[in-house]
Amino acid sequence: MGRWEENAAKWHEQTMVYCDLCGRIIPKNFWIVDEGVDRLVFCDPDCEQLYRDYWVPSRKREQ
Amino acid sequence: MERIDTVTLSVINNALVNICREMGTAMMRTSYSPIFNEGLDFSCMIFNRRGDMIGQAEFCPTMLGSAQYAVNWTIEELGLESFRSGDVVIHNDPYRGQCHMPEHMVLKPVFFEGQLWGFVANIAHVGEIGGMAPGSFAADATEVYQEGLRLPPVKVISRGEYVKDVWKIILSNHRTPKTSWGDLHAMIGSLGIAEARLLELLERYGGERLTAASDLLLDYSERWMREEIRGIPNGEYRASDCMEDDGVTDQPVWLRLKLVVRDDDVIADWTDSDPQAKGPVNATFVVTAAASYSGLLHLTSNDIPRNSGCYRPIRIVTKPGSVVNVRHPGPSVGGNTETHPHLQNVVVAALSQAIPERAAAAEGASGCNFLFAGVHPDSGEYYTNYHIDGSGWGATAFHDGNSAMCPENGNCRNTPVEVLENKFPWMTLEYRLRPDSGGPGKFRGGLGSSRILRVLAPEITVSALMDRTKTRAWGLFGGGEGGSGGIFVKKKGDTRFRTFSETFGTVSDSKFTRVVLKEGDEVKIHSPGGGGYGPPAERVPEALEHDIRQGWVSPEAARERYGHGD
Amino acid sequence: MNANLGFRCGIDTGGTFTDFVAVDESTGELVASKWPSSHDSPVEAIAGVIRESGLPPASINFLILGTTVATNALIQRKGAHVVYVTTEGFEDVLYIQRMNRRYHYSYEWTKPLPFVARRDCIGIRERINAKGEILVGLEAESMEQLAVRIERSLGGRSAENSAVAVSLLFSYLNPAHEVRLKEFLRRRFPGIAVSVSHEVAPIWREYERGSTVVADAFVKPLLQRYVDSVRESLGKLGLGCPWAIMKSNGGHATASAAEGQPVNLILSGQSGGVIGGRYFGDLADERNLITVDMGGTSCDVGVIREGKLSYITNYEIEWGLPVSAPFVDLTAIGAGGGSVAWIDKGGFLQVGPDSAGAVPGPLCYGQGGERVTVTDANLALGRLNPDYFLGGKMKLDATRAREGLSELGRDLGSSAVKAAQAVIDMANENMANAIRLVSIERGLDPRDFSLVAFGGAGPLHAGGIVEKMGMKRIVIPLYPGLCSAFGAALADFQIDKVWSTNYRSDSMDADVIIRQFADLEVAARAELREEGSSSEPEVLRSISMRYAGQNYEHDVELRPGPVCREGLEQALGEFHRLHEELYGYSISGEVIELIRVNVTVVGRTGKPRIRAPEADRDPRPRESRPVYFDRHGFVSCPVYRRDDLPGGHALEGPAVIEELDSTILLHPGHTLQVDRHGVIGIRA
Repeated sequence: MGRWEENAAKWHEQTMVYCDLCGRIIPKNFWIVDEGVDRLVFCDPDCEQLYRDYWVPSRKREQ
Repeated sequence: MERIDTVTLSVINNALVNICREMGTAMMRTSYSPIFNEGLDFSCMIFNRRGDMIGQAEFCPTMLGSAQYAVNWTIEELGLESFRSGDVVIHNDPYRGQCHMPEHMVLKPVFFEGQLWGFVANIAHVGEIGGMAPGSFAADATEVYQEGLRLPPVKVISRGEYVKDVWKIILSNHRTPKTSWGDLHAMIGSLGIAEARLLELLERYGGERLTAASDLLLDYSERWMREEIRGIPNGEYRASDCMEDDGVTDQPVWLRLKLVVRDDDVIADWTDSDPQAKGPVNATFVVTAAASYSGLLHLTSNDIPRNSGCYRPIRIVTKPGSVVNVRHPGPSVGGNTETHPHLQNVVVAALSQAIPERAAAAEGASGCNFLFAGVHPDSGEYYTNYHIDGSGWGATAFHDGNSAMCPENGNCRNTPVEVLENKFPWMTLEYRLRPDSGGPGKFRGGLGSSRILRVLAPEITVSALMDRTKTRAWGLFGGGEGGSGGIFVKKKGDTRFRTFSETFGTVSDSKFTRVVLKEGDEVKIHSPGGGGYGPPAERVPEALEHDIRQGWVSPEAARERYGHGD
Repeated sequence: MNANLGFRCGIDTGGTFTDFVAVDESTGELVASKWPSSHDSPVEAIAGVIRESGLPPASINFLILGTTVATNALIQRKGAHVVYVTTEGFEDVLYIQRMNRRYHYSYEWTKPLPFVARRDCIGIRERINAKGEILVGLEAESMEQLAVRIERSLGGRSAENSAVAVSLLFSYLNPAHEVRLKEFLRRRFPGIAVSVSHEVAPIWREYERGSTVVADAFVKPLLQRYVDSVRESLGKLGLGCPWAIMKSNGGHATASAAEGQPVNLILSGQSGGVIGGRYFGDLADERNLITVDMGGTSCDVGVIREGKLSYITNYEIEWGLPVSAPFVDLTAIGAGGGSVAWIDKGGFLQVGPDSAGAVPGPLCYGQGGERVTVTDANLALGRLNPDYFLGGKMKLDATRAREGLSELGRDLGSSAVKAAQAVIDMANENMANAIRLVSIERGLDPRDFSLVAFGGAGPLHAGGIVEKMGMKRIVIPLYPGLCSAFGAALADFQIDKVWSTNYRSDSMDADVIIRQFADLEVAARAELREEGSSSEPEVLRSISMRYAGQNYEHDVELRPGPVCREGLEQALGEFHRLHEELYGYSISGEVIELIRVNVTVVGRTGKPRIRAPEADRDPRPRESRPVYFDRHGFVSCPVYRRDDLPGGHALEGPAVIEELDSTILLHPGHTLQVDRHGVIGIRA
């Protein structure tokens, strides 16, 4: 189960956090999912869903 | 939710489109640079308060796919609560959801009955924004910082008053501030017109009803798009293309797509593409997304209302740090004009395996971006200009490709010779189509054009950013390749045209900056042609003979490529 | 007024009928007639409709024709074999066009074809620059070579099917080379029509100017033949009076002037309607009008402000094929009685632009039509009388209409009646959109305007349209179906003259501009006299201006009377104000460029007084029938004949008023009044 987190950077700091599925830079609100030790960051639950439905199986198949 | 009948819905949809059209017309009529008022290199849009694009007009589509990202970013970074009636926000930062540096968005919140209802916005190509090269199209840039002044979303107008501090920063960093002043006012002025028209619509339907209607329109477009995708056989389709070089290193950069059709959605997976290039052919994430959307929209019904709903069934997967998703501080100015149409061509090539009858062969796919600057000998004033040319489109299963067209990611017009020469010290010696540049096929690819310009001033500084000068637009199903393009120079007194690398030692033939030409020197710009569709031998003889008579195909090429007369 | 003046006549050639209206210039008496149009020979119908009127030829004083010959030739691409001559190096400009496309996302779209084959586009060595200076002279030898190539291109075609169009770079600044070429071609190819760009369209942008001059040449021989055959045919009828042709600018020109520059005739057949609409608006004391001319296949919407027509200078034959000339600002849309209702892929109802035409026509014509049309919807809702269509000349089949609508309703998930109402709504919405185009998009509030509704179907839809637009008043002319012919009869002489300049407000020489205005006026007045206008003309002067750096201009009108320095200064100030008004900002202190000097001279023709209708009529309804109104359902409606209603008579809606060529629908809550001229005014 994921959770929303807000970018903690101050207004004068520039951080660039990329979605682990689509690769987009996420402006402010991250959808965080803990997978064991990994911390996955997504734009939203839709990206997480596609990560599970498409990305993981397709990478497994290719390996 | 309140029931809204389909008639009212289509009326509202038309009204939203009309507001955007009106915004565009005002911009065209009042702007200063030719890329604006002749080129129409801009897009006009309306957004709801969530940042969904609910209406747009048919000017230049290149910014449309990316616009919602730029608006979303603006809303998230500034927060909805920060907007006041009469504000205007500007934004061109490719690392905050914009497509590349020259495209500037201006955004105006629209308040109805004291509440923020939505936004009117336009994105336009501002011709000169500083940076290492005049015209801000640095083909040999290696960082975004060389590409001009980067503006995160900031207010340039606050409650109807100029934010002078910001304007001063902008105007001191652009080489031709007077033109920027005129163009930015054209953009901002047109927002006022759109705001007034949207308020009329809100008066007529009420805020909640219009919100409900636009939500229904988004769903409607999404539903229609899913229906269209259902018509494409499920499967994985792969295609690839390369940028011939990146302007800094003379090596090709590959764009690789795996496109997955799953019932009613599509995944455009670009992760196998090359790492990001040193030079500015990198696409930002939003450019890759926009190109993927555009490819799908080209292959589906032309009647779907254009709003963010169309994009929902299309998912994008990219790897940061690759040519399709550049990482800070990589350069990206050519990503939106050159890489963008290549990406879109790749989407169409992938889907041509599934729906051959709807696809087109590759197009010339180069904006033939040509930049120049100098002091006009008549007025003594400094000028810069962004000039583009059209290339040939690919043929389809039913007809020949159109000749000399703006690449499919854009929809810009050329600048008339009489306008160009009125404003800038060039003399045009020819503006023609190039015979035999269309790929042979049952249906022939469109032709590229040839333009020769002679310098009429003591000096003009030129830069260029083109592609498909070494590579060629591919054909489909037996169709041949289109002719490659090129940019050449003939120094005064020389006997023939040569490449810029030969004459000036630039790394790339097609991507260079700040070459100084002297009076009497000539530049020749050849735009590439489009690919053919189907085997040339199947071309109807009458069509081929017509081509020969018209001069589109030479008798020699007819013999060699079509076997004419054998 | 002189008692033996006789009749002033207008003829409008429509797709189905050719209409004739004659106005007795002394008594105001009206005579009207109709005759079936003939597509192959429009002249036959002209003779037919004059004979049908029963007027003795000697009683006709003046005849004005609205013609669709030029439009049809362009739309159907049946015109002359054109050879295009242009500056060497630019032979492909008509094929390159503007590089943009009609649709964002479509591989189906193909570029429009120019009206000239590429192999007939010939370059000639010569060059003028952006300052109007000659860089490369036009040599006699080049012209000789050109002549050889033209001969080859013509390939022995007869002169009556051939034409030469000339457009050289920057000829709008310096026409010297075009003038010489024209003389040369006239001498070398006598009898072949020649059009040159600085005469036809002295505007910048080589594609738009080239496209215009080619369109002109394409229709020129055809227009010359048309004029000849009309002349011959009128001669046979014994008609010796002067006659003229309607122009796109709403004025008219003598036949010889018109055939010399046929590009000015593209809206000849449509501009009469706006003139007619304005006349009846005037009679009803309405100065701000939106005209809606709705016929069988299309609807033309125009706008009149303070009694004045609006003009545009650009018209597209089809998308991407521009013609630059003065046009009455008309928006034509595919909304007529025959417009077809259909359901798009997303499940939305759409109406038009496809039309079932007159053949096979709507379902209810019973002539093999298979698709539901606006007329079917009107019939199913009781708005049309199946037994009194075209005055009873045609029977309509209401059952067929209802069946078609039931089917449409099933697809939409509604009843036949709801579907019919939706079809009407959609057609009205399309027309409302066209009204928004000519009003709101020009910064005008349609609620400040009265709707003049005519054409066969206009009076039937006017009530629904004004309710949509929030408009308050409708004017229905006499003989609504004949309003275009009526307008032709009333049109003025009008000459528009333009000179392209390139002045800046910080360095302009006022005396030069003043002289240019004077020269244009002299030329325009001379042309006006040649066309046969003898009255003292009205002269309108304007300058097209923009901020230095901008690319598009706005016309700023000058004060009436000869131009003076103060007038010019005032006009510059007016430009800033206009810019502020249109775009919400102005750039004070910015240099203004003066791009064009425009002079229009108008030779007014006397406007007849329409005779008041007879007063001794029986204004009782002939019958009553149920008519469906949105929000009311079916309501029993009295049905009147318009002829029965005397001047001063008033009615309250709902009601139906039928006449020979049209049906007026009075909505519940609307009131109607017949004025002393017989013109109907409705208040919403």
